[in-house]
Amino acid sequence: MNTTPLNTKEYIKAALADKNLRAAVGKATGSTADSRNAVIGQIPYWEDLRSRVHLIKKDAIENLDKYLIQFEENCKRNNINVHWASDAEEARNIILDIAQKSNSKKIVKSKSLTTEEINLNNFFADKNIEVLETDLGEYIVQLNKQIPSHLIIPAMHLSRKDIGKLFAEKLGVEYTEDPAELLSIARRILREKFLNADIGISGANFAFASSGSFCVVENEANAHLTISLPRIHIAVMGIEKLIPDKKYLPYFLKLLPPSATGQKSSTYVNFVGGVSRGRYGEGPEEVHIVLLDNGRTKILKDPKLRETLYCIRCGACLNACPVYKNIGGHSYGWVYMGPIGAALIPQYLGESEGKYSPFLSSLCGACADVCPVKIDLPGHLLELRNRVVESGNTPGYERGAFKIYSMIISRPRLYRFLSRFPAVMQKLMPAGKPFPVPGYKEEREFARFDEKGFGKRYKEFINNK
Amino acid sequence: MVKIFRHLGVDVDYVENQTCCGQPAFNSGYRNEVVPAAERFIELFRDKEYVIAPSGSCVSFVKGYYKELAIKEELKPALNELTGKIYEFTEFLVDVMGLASLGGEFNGRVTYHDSCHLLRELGIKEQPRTLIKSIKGIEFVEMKDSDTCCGFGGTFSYKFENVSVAMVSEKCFNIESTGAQLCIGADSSCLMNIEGYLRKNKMKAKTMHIAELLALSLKL
Amino acid sequence: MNSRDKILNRIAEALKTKTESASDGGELERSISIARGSITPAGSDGLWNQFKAELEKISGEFYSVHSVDDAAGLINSLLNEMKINSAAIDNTADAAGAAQLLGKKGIKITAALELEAADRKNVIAGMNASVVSPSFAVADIASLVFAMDDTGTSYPHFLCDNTFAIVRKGSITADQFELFERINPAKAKNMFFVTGPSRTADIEKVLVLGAHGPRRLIVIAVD
Repeated sequence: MNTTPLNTKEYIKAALADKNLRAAVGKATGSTADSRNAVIGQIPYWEDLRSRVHLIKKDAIENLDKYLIQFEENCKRNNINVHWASDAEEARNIILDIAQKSNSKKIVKSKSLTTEEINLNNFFADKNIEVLETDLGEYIVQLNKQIPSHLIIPAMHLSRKDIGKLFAEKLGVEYTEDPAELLSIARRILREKFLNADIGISGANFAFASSGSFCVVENEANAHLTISLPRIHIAVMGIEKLIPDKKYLPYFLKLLPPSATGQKSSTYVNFVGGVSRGRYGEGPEEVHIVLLDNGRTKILKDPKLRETLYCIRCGACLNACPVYKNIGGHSYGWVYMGPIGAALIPQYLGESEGKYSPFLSSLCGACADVCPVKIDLPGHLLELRNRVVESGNTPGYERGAFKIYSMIISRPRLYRFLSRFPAVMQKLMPAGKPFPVPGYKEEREFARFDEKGFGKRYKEFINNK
Repeated sequence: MVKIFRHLGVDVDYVENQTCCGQPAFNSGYRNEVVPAAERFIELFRDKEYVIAPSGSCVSFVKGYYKELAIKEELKPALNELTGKIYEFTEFLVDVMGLASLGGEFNGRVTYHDSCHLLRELGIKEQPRTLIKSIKGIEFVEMKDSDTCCGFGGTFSYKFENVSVAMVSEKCFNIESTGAQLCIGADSSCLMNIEGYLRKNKMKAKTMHIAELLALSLKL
Repeated sequence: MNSRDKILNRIAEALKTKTESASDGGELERSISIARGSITPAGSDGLWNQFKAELEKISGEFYSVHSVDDAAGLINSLLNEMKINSAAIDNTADAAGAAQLLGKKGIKITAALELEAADRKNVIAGMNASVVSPSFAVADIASLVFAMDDTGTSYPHFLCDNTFAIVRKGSITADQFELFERINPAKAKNMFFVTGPSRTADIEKVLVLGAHGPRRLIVIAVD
């Protein structure tokens, strides 16, 4: 595995310099957050729902082995082929093998972050098998040779002008920046692809242990077409998506759409319970589900951090995050971004490669406020910061500085003595210039220091009374 | 804060040997480095009836995170007591002392910034507003997104300076848009960050801690 | 050892460090249930009013009529307005019932299941309208519930631009919680929920209807 840190700082610099990007991301996250707030205002039991779903996920995760075995048994009963993949490579090979054995050449895909995680599209690029994204946002970023910049709105970073130019250049259509016309171009091209695809690949929002089935939640109808038109269906799912029973789904379906898009309900929920749907000759004739580990069992080890596996990928924490709003999703450097991405990156990729991401937060806590499954994101980021430090992935000067800091704050006299130092230094600065502090140079200055300090002022005050 | 407490007849004792609560190290991932300071803190305030700080962030750190440190076993009961008697300044005035007004007077337009830890970890939202609005002659205006982080975040402001600046610039724009002459807060670190940007960019508003505003309004 | 056993072993190993089990003793479910009750409109009419209001918010269209024949008459006049003279139907009795009358009025009806499986998707994709019938309606979100066991197909529901859904008034449920209590688990295996016409807001958050599925969803409630 690559152990150089993700190129976070370069991305951030570019993102901050890009006014259009910041405007686009700021506007999209803001309007989604506003719709969310409006919808949850109509659900008086919102907080209870969050607590309830937290407990359901806790049970699911803490008994994951039991539920997975139950799920596998029930899938078999439904003629769903269950595959287990330890890592991304194994998952990719399972899918390739299904494609090759069935002599499939055309694959359509609906939106799935898990397939982004295993880098499926690039893998198929040189295998003479076409893999096409069908969610409009995913289709756009695939055309643009990028990865999604948001969990729910993949092309959030692009303006309608960008997309118009992209379509004109890559699809040879006349330039238009009308979203309805752009959609209609994509719909026309993709309808043809849907009707002729050999395999459909989707993710799974929720899978149900007790019934051996799963469901996909969406708005565009592309997931339904992906599932029902091709002869073969493959769902790729992280093992943490399993919940014990379908009866819990209403709780999740109340929380997910408002958190994700600010809708009361998503337009479609598609259940796949095996090939019995092919009773009248409608696809799929063959259903596969790939259960992916790829580091999830590693995350499971820590009793606290395993809570990050409760995530239902709604993106609410991104929309609430003032850091994400300013830098966009690509700055995080991986397929998961925003506060949850910042927590997942070092856990999946290791503390060395992911050494910046837990620090890419002001710990303001807005993410935890909106998380529908009540993940303590700031708490986990703090825990992961500690891991980055413990694994020796912070610079030597920083470690030294905190050693010294630790020493000073345990010695009150030294502390008091040194507290006067900045004020003294400030006096030495040219008139009106503040004392330079790292991080406070170009666009803001550091506070002016009080020459006397609180201790001295306190004594004077008390003695004057 | 001392002036106000004395004005209200509260007996104030400033513990001279106190230092820093250790949050900067903890938030940067250095937990072991905080332990000696935390243990001293617990010892120092052991016999006090209440511990009041004019900083929501410090209070929420001591209250919420000291328990995650490898503190000596024998200090744990004292830590428990401490978390029950440590309060943020406005929280203490409104919730513990039951005050809704201190009766001061101040002429001017002010706005209020919700500091993150104060708001989200301690749940303090109305207390400072109650106290501000009760000042005679004051004009209080809410800014847009008053509960959005100012971008300070401790060492975050240094590690990701450019992101932090982008955040504080937005905050300052929202402050300016209210036309307020003062942005009031209850956490010095946020105010320091905001003030630094306002001043450097020659913006009209200034920052002021709520204790200062209250003292000023009471002519203390 | 294969990957299955490796993964299961890793999980078992990881879960040796348990966190304290947290149960609320059913307290949350009770309070959610009470809160749900407090916002549920009374009676079937109340629920249908809510359904209509919610459906219109998400750009669906709603009609209420007395019989399947009335529904067919309404569909016929709407199809004439749209200058469409054919429609695909699913395998439900109400869609077939409406189809009979529509046929008499000169609308060319294609029953999806009467088509050869191999041709079905292409034929239906070439059509502009469909008539289908859900098993349930959900009032608080204006959602329709279809079970593949009943419809036998989902092509008319997804491949035609204009979908007419004939729904029985008695099939209304307050919310998905109630729905899951009423649903037959055997039929629930391959079902799909439809809530308004298909949509996307992937370009600058501008809402556009008719993404990959229907542009119009016209719900006709029948006594």
